Amino acid sequence: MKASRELTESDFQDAHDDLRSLKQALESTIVGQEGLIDRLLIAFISGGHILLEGLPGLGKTHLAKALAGATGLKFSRVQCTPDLMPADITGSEILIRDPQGEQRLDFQRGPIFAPLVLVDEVNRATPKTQAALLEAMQEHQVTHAGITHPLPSPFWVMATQNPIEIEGTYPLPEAQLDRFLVKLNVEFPSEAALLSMLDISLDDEPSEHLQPVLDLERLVSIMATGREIVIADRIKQAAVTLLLATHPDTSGGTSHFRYGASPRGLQALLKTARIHALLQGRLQVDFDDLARMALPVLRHRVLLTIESELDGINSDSILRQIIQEWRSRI
Amino acid sequence: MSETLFKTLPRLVRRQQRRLWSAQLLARTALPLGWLVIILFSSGLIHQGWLQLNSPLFFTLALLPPALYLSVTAIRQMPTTAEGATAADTQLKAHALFLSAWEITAFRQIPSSTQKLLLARAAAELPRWQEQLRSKPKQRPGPSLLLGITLAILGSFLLLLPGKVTQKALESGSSDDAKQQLSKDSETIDPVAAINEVLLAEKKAVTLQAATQRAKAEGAHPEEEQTGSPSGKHPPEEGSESPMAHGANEKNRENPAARNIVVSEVGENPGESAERHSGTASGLDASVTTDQTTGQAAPFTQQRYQDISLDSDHKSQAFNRHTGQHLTTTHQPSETGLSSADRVTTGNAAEQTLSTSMTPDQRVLVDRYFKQLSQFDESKP
Repeated sequence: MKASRELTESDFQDAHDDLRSLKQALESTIVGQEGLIDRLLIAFISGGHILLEGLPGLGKTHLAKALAGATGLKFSRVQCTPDLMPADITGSEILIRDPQGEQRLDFQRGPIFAPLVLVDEVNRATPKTQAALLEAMQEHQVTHAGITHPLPSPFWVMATQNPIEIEGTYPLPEAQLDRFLVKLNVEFPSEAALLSMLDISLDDEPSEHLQPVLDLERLVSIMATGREIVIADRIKQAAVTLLLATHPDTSGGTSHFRYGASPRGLQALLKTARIHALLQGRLQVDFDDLARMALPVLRHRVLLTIESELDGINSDSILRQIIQEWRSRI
Repeated sequence: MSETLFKTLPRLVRRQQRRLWSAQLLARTALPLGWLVIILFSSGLIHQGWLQLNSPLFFTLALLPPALYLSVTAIRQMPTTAEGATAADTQLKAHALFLSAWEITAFRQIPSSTQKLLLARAAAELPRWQEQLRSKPKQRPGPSLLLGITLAILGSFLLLLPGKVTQKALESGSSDDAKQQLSKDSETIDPVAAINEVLLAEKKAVTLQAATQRAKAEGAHPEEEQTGSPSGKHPPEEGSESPMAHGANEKNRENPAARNIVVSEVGENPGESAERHSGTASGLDASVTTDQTTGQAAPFTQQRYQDISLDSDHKSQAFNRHTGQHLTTTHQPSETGLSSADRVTTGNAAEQTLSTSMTPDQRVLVDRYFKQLSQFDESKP
């Protein structure tokens, strides 16, 4: 690992440059989603799983494919349906007859055994299938018939879900949502972005022809460099303060949330803030890094009260308010 | 370079910490300044327009709470060095480079490879940081602060200046409190000198009466030699000062204390004085008791003297009812409207010009006194 050796200024500069190259590659295929690409890339380099939420046709799957293409990673896709079984994702034992004529049970690995897995419409899978998937996400391994099968490293899951088609779905419980490092909302592109999109993807799918700009080794090296970014104690303290502000039972906490963000959310906040700083070419995390990453990191880790939900209050708006107040206090 | 960084960054942080502290205190002055302005300005207006106020008390009331508040705030709101470093970082727009470098230097950590790189970046930025932090202009008070200070100063002046209400009240003669307030500020005189002056005026009156009687008698026998005039050639003319009175007034002019005629008993309980002279108005504080103070022979009995008293309209300027120790004079014009050159008529037709340096109250006192004298009929027992 590169982190174990003495890092130089050029190492950081190279990591920063590589990140910029990766970003440019993604932006060349996905038009009008610069902010989304930034956050996706940050979560990706942080080593976390990503939940993409947006209306159909906004390019979620396309984005995942582009990322896999730009990094040269093996990519697999799972389309979730209510009849999808856990074994369909993790794999199952099948009876195999070898050339010698002997029969034996062999574990056939499922689509989860890939560095980058796209789980489309994850909320259409049953809770049992979701649990199997999420266990793999957390443990980075699959246990079948008493045998543990490690997943590739690094390992990313990109799950998508549709916010409007609720019927026949199984919304992910909070405990499982917490396993996603970030939840990114895919916004509808602007008029100019739509026009640009027509120019590059009317008859073709650019993500399928994207050449890798990084290999796996380089990707791991950048991830290791990202972990070396300095976080001052004062910044850590500020992150804790921000996290506690989402809790209803702490002083200065909001009353709109039933439950605030978890300690895992705090880890996620600082991990993503480090990569955000690296993407900006800095060796240290700033308060602005926390502020920028707070919303995608915290939005799926808080739970609105019934009253707030009935009032039509959105957790994003409350979080934005909390972040703004927190930033002004520092 | 690293050693310079280790010395300079904590120094810059301490400087910023002090600035932050003063800025916080300045920001917290709104409440105490508001209090100060409200108390000083409103009390100043009241003092000038409606009611005489105790200025030192209101100054204390205006200043003490803000001073206490700011003291407590200064102690409790003292920023930490980390806050100072954060403030400096924000001011420099260093994106936490200053803050992170300061933490490494402050805690004397053994820097990792990344931290070394960070310190190198910080060292490169250090001259610019020093320049920016040094050249930061001092905080200037905002318009609201200036307005508040101006109002506070104006209020102080209003509170310090003598209130108009006192003068108005004295002019109308209706406010006992105002008179009392003014009597505190008025001049204290020697009571013995004042009594002596009354006695002198008494003698003049007697002399004038005798001279008038002699003039009547001479009118019946014109060939007889005129008596009663010290010159023996120039009888007293109307509108002129008699030689005797002239001499007495000259004496009074030389003795400023003797010009104050308002009289009161000294060292007595003020209430006792009023009780003894039952013929006076209620609340009487002053009376003429010549026989007790001088022991000189006078053509009147003590009872007659006791009948000579001051009414309540003119007594309070002369006597401090709280202490019972001072005789005082005022510069208030009397109700009679007599000027210093006015004449007071005694007896039948004789006139006596009083000292020009008497106060209106003194003139009123003497005026009343001589009126009493003129009404005195010696033929009655």
